Amino acid sequence: MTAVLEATDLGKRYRRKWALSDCTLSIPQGHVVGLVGPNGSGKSTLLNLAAGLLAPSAGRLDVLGGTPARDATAVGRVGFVAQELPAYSAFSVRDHLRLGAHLNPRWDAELAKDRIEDLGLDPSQRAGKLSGGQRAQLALTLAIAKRPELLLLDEPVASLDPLARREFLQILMETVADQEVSIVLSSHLVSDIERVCDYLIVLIDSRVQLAGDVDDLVSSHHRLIGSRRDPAGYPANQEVIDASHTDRQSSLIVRSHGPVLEDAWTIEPVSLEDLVLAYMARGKHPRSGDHFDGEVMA
Amino acid sequence: MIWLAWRQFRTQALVVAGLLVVFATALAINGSHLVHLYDTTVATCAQRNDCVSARARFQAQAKWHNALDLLVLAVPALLGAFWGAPLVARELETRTNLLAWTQSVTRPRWFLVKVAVTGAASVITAGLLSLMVTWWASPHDRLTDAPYSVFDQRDIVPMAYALFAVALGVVLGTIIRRTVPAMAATLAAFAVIRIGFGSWIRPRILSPLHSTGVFTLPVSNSVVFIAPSGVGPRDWLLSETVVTSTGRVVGSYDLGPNGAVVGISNAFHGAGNLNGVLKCGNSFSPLGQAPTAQVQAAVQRCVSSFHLHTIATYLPSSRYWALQGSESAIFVGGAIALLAVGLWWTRKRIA
Repeated sequence: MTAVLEATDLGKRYRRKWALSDCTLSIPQGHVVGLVGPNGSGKSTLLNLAAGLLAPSAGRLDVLGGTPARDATAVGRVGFVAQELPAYSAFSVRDHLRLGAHLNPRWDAELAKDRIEDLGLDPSQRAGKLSGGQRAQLALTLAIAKRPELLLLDEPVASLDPLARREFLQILMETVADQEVSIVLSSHLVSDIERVCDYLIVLIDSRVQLAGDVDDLVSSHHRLIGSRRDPAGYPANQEVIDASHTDRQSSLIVRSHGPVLEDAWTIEPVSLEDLVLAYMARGKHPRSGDHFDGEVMA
Repeated sequence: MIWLAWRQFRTQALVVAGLLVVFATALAINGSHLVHLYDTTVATCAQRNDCVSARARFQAQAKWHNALDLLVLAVPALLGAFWGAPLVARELETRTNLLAWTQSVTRPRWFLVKVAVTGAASVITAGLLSLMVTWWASPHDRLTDAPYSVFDQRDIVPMAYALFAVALGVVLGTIIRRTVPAMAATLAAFAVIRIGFGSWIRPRILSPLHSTGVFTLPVSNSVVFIAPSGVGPRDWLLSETVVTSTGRVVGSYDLGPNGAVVGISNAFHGAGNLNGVLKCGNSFSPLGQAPTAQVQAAVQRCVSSFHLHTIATYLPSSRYWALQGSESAIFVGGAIALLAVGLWWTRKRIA
């Protein structure tokens, strides 16, 4: 499996504070990758490093087989939609498309024009007057029409209302369906992006807590519900990710590599969101002995 | 990238171009009137023997003179603050740099093209303004006949100032990252640099000439200006020292850039003791009273007996263009150095 993004002991420091440290991860080609983690986990820093907007303070980062943004060609191969959805407020939508055409040798003017038409955006509208959702669409159009091999979206829907979120992701999927592009989009909520991702990376405090194909993750995790008991009474051959208890009941989220056969427990499937929350909870309060440091990645 | 740089800049560029056209028209009309006035009054006054009133009449008409000189002084600073400082700072403030830097353009190219477009426009603006004002003021400058007194408001140096001011603005904007503070910092820093340069560095750029002459006292109190021997009114008198025959300095005057000496009458009265080094006795009239011819002759004899000499340090008018060129080169060099810092900062320090 070739990687579009490969980080080794990657770190980024702002003055004294490390925004990302000792991050080692690999993002495979040809996927829509969801990068999920709580605020401050280093997602944004990682994507900015990958876009070449930041330079690493430590470690190594390869994007599409080389240092990010080392030359104009390398910048051209990566599309980036920044969290702030920046746009020149005095420029019209049409000016932004002209900007894209002048600044990108592989610019797909047809695609850009069609998208603006489909979205119903007025080309003469100034970007400063667009709604948040429209600005996100404009930013996405610019990023897609430059025909990148890797498209990075940093919390693209964070500032949008629920309807605009759904529309944005839907259009993202439609647009990229027929393009050979790998996508990484970050979010602190898995529910925002689970509909579009086929690969998931959970990042907590710069560490990969979980990485894998979404279908595999869902099928290899289960919720076990049974009468309340101590950790000593947990199933021995299962890796317990998270446990919660009521007065009478214990509910475990477990990871298993084979079929789960536990007579004493009721076995239920786990939603992706619950699964991610379980890993997040564990990452925040890691218990001694079962710290996970990313060996599932592959 | 040139397209983007121009698209971002064009509104301001067109506004300034429009102002320049209006300004040029006004100056052309008024300036040709002044040329005619000069030719019919000052240029021919010697024949009619009324030069004092002719000069007064002309100067009354050329009353925009000070305002225009001030404008030429101010415009480079304004270009630095309004075109230079926001160039990078505004992009950082509105985060649009993220949009520009993730197109297929490298940061150095983005920076250099933007600076080139704005810098070129600034140099052209300052150059045209200086050209217009230099032409408009030419009759007046002929009248005052002291080219060094308007040195930094004429000819080519305003273009170098403009380039320097824009570079200063760009760098401060890049480092400060906020438009308004960067503008204020640019204005302040540019003013300090220009004033400091004029006072301390400009007199030392070219090696001056020295002229030695016999120290003589003014003939009468009505004489307000005595050029040191060998130094003409068009030269830039940097300093004048009075020395004894053994080389001992007994007094010195620092003079204005056009050599307008105001201290000479003090020298006359002060010649009684010449800073306590030499004494001529008590045969002087008190301050504020015109000396009698006998007193003057007595003082002159006394002063002559000391064999005093004046040493004038000056830059001759023939070095005017050399100084214009040298000062321009220094400011252009400074601009290039600043832009190198800005480029480095843009590449390495901005996240």
